Amino acid sequence: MYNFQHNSSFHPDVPMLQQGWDSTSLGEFKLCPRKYFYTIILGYAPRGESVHLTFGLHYHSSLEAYDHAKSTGANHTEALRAAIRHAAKVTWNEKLNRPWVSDDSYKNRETLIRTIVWYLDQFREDPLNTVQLANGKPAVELSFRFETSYTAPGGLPYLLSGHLDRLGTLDGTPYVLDRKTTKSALSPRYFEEYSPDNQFTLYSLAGRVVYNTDVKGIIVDAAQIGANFSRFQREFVYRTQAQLNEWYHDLGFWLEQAQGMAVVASANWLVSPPAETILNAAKFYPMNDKACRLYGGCPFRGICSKSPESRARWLKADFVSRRWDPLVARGDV
Amino acid sequence: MHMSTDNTPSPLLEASPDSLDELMSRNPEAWSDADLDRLVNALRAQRAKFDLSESEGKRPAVTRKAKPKAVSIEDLGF
Repeated sequence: MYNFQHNSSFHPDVPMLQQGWDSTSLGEFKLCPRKYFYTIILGYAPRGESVHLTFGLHYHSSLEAYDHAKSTGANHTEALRAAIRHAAKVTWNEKLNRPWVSDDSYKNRETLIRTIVWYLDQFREDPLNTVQLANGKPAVELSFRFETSYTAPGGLPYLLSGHLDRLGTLDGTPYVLDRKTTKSALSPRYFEEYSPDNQFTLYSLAGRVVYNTDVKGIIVDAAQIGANFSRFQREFVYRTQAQLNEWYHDLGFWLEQAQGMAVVASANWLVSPPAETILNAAKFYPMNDKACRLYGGCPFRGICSKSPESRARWLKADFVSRRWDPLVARGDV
Repeated sequence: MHMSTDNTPSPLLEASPDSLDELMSRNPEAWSDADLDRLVNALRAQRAKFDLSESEGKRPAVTRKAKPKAVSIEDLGF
């Protein structure tokens, strides 16, 4: 089964039309429609683990365990224990009765736990005060979803969704907190890459729309992971209302493009739905062959470099199917 | 002199790399709060060491090339 089938983010009548978008899927579409088709519509992911993805997920969920423990009255020591216990458990393979094995000297179980302890110690007295939601819960690991004014066929609104690490105020000014891990040095150039940035603009917009706060932008807590050290830096990434308006205006263009491709691809697929013909729909999603080398190289470069008639075979051999539904909530909505 | 009959190893011995390796290889379901604190203390000690080296500005030694001596035409035997 492909990702678009039985997926709440896709249109009920136009099978390949994504109706609920997050920063990942929108970013993939902006980067390269063909890559978007493979990753989001079909759900293909490279075989083998991405150590960066695994490390990032464990780092976020462990810090979330800390935030939740603190919100229930735990002190720093107790909450730190909760975070480490969580990190140790999620990096333990119960089946094999052994720890997660990473062949990356920078991102592995030891550097994960070290980074968690050093980060939480550094921001133990955090001046960023977590916002309390109307239901009394702290605004940490929040799933958001809101309707846009753009509509899909049948009048259904396009939705935007995502997950915020934390919503807080600093000297009374609201910000969205986002935690990043990187092997790169935390130079001004590292932080400059977040302006403009699809994810951060969407998160700033969400902070304003969903939580009805005058969010000024994102606080980035970046962690540089080395083999023998972790360094941290907090920087501010601002978004003005005019910048948010500009991004939202452009969103209409991207949604229109995606809709145009999905309508044609879906119509073709509905005429001849056998799985073998699904890859024919790729032709409706053009390659951006100037993006193949970006971000360390596209994982589908090896596929796109083959002649079209042989791609299905290579995809089945080198990739696995996975589910990606932006409308599935993680924490509190 | 009073000798302690307590067989508990000292915290410093407990925080040795060997004992931490042993802890990390155990199923975390069985980790106690004391195990977690031991791990935290070891990581804090590691950080203190790193911060110290940072403040001392320790960087990998750079081999400097000796400045070439000025050479005159006469030295070259022309």
